[in-house]
Amino acid sequence: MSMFYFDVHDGDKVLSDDDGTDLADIDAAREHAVVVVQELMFRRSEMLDRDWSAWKISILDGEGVELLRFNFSDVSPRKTS
Amino acid sequence: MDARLESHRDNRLLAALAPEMFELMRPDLRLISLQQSHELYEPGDEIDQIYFPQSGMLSLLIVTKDGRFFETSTVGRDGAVGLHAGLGPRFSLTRATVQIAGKFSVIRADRFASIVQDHPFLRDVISRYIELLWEEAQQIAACNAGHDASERLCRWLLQCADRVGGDTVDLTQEFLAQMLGTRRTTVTILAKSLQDEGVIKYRRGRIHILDRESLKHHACECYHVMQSGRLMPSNS
Repeated sequence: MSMFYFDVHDGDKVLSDDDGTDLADIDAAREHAVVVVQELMFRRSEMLDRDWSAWKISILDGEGVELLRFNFSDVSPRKTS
Repeated sequence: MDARLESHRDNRLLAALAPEMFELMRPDLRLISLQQSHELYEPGDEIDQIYFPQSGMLSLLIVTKDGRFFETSTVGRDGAVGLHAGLGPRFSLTRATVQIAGKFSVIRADRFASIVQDHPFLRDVISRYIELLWEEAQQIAACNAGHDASERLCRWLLQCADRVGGDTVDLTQEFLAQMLGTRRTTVTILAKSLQDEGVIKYRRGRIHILDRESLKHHACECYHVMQSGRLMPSNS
């Protein structure tokens, strides 16, 4: 288990994750990031007056090194049952 | 044991009772302090006391088999937990906990039931409150199914602030995530976004609402629907 940090940014603004989340490995971290994006993009991509479809999410390790990054628009919506 | 009239009357249900009705209950009302996370009821527990928040806030949660928590209702000074036990022995359907510490007026359920039996007017107060809770539960169900995390978070923050009676709410991001049914990271991002906009300030588990109007703008319509539904006649 290690700490992973999930920052979101649009090239201009960064909303940084100060607390991080303890996850098994980078695959679990990627899965976590996908779920977070799906939760932010539920039903619509504009929330809190921001167009999130233009945003990206970065996964960082405990040293602040970026391990992975992808666009919100790369994530398909969660299937609702 | 403090049973001064004024100490119990920050709770709107108690304040709404005519003085002679309140006097019937007053001898059996106690004012107690409860800390955050104190558990009132587990599902299946008999309701032995009725809690009227004067400050602080109670949460009613369904806990699923995999250990996740889902909000069904929160209760502050606008309501009570266990009121329907005034109609006879009742069992809790949810986990009831103290979400925000505060002072609570409590009365034993059997004492309250016996007062209600002798004063049918109180039965009417109870059923009106139950109707309100039912309407609210329906609205929450629709909200949880159809509205996104940001709208629900904003609604939630407003309701907590209303129920606690101020603009400061002590809630961790972990708790908010559980209530919203999202990852904690999602709450962090939403909170940061709101903070960035100057709507809230969120530090070390304490949320200060800076711009209520913006928060209302971001909340789903459920906030206004549920607010107008709080129809208990009130002094304040």
